[in-house]
Amino acid sequence: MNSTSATPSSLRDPKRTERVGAALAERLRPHEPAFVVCWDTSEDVVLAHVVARELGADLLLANEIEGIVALEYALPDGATVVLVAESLDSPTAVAGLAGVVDHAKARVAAVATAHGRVEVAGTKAEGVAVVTAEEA
Amino acid sequence: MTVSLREALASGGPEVFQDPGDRRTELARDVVAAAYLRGDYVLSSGQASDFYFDKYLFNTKPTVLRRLASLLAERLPADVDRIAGPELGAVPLTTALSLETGTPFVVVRKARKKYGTVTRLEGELHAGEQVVLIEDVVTTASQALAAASTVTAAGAKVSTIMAVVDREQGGGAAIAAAGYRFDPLFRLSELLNVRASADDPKENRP
Repeated sequence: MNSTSATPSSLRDPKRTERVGAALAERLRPHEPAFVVCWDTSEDVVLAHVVARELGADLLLANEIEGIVALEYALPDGATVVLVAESLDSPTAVAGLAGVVDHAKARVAAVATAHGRVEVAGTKAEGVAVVTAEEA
Repeated sequence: MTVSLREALASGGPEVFQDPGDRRTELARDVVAAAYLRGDYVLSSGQASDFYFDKYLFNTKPTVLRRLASLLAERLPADVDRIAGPELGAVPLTTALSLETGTPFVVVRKARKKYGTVTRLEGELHAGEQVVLIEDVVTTASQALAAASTVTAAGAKVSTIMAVVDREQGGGAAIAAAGYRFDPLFRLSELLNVRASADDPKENRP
């Protein structure tokens, strides 16, 4: 393990992950999500697990293979969802997640990240609340 | 009586070579026939789509792959020292083009972990080499541009990114903005027109 890395990561610091995850969950609680959806990467799943546990919500993973995004199982129609990630700074990170949730006829209530800037404009999550750990 | 190619050419006999435009059109039809899938998809852009081009369905068919390599070879810049193919989909295409042209190639791995034994370039690549990156399908071009960055970080020069299909979703503009020339064999709109023509019985009359 590289303990000198400057990049924060849910994998390197379990105490930080608990702290950040709990803080994000508190900011997300007013949205009453039934599901936390995240990309199927180690960093995102570890953080989203803590957020889902704190919220009492189900955790649902999304994957992208060769440009096609899919959820690991179907969301109920109209379900309230929050998107959680360590960071969402790539151009399609929010768009893909929000798109697949919208396609399932569920509703994205908020987007939350541990760090970094989140751009929701032009995605199916446009206009929803954005929560970052820096603000939490 | 059979006539050899040499005899046919010598006698000015029947045309034995297919017109390049016809070759390209015929290949477009075969790419569509092989790889066009109807379904209910969500793309990485977040947009829903009722169709998808599965590149593995065209670049795993030797009769299609060989002709793609032939057409790409005709467009390959003369000064290229090496071609590069991002894993995984572009590898068979790059291999076929390398065999067609005799140009050596390098495989570019996607970024994974930042620790342990990590090499993102498989094969030889030398500083100063002129490299053309080969991609199968370009959507936003994020993967192609990441691969180009890996190649340039190793000291080589990427002039051009060639692709089989440009999905026309901003990839071409992103490649141009990054300073590379973009040369796709087919644009998505062209392939969809081919598909539409195939669906139209009038277009299929002899």
